[in-house]
Amino acid sequence: MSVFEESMFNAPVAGQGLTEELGSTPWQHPPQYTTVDEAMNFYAERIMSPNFKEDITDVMELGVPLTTLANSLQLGAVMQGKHTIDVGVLVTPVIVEMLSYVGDAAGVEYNTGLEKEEVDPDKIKDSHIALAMQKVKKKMKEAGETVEEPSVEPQEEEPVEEAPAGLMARR
Amino acid sequence: MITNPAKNMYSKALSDVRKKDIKKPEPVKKTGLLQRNMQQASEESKGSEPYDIVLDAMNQIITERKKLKNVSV
Repeated sequence: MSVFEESMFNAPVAGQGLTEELGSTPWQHPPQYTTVDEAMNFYAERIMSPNFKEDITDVMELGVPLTTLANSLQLGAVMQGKHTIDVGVLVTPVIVEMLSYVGDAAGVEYNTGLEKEEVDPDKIKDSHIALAMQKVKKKMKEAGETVEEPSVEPQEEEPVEEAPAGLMARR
Repeated sequence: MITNPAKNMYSKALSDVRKKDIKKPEPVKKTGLLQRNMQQASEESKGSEPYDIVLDAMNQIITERKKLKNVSV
């Protein structure tokens, strides 16, 4: 069974999301912060807290774009019922600016997410290779050829004679 | 292609902040029946829309960042 088929069977059943009781999740309740001002204050307090600063600078150093961080922060807050999605989307530029301020203050080199990636013309993307492999497999199936998966057979280990040890052992 | 909404929003807000810095002089119409000062009209329509609040906040943080960079240099 291919990975795609497996993941298809693990997917939720159609309508499963409607089986939960209404109001059982935080985002089904009225949000805690209804205006952009309140949401900005919430993020300012959170981002400027010392513990958060340390964690976020570590993530910035790893090269995670600030826009991605801001997006995940606001999505998390939406899931917690802090504010609505539209308020979250409106606030994201401010979150990115706050994060860049924290990065500047800590002296960390960060990536905002707007920088253009340097494309190496000699390097082929992994996704392109996978796509090409999929096409080849499909064509081979259509042609009636069997695709041989590289099998790894367990190899027998050669018994290693143990060298005699001890005081009375002959050498 | 998967796009990040935060990326789009941030780039749009950045360009809007830059546009906001460049203030154009509004035309003043002093003759005719529709006599009106357009500058006054634009000031009237200036409300505290959520997006305007966001742009103001961004501007504040950008100036703070500039100050920070000047101090560190």
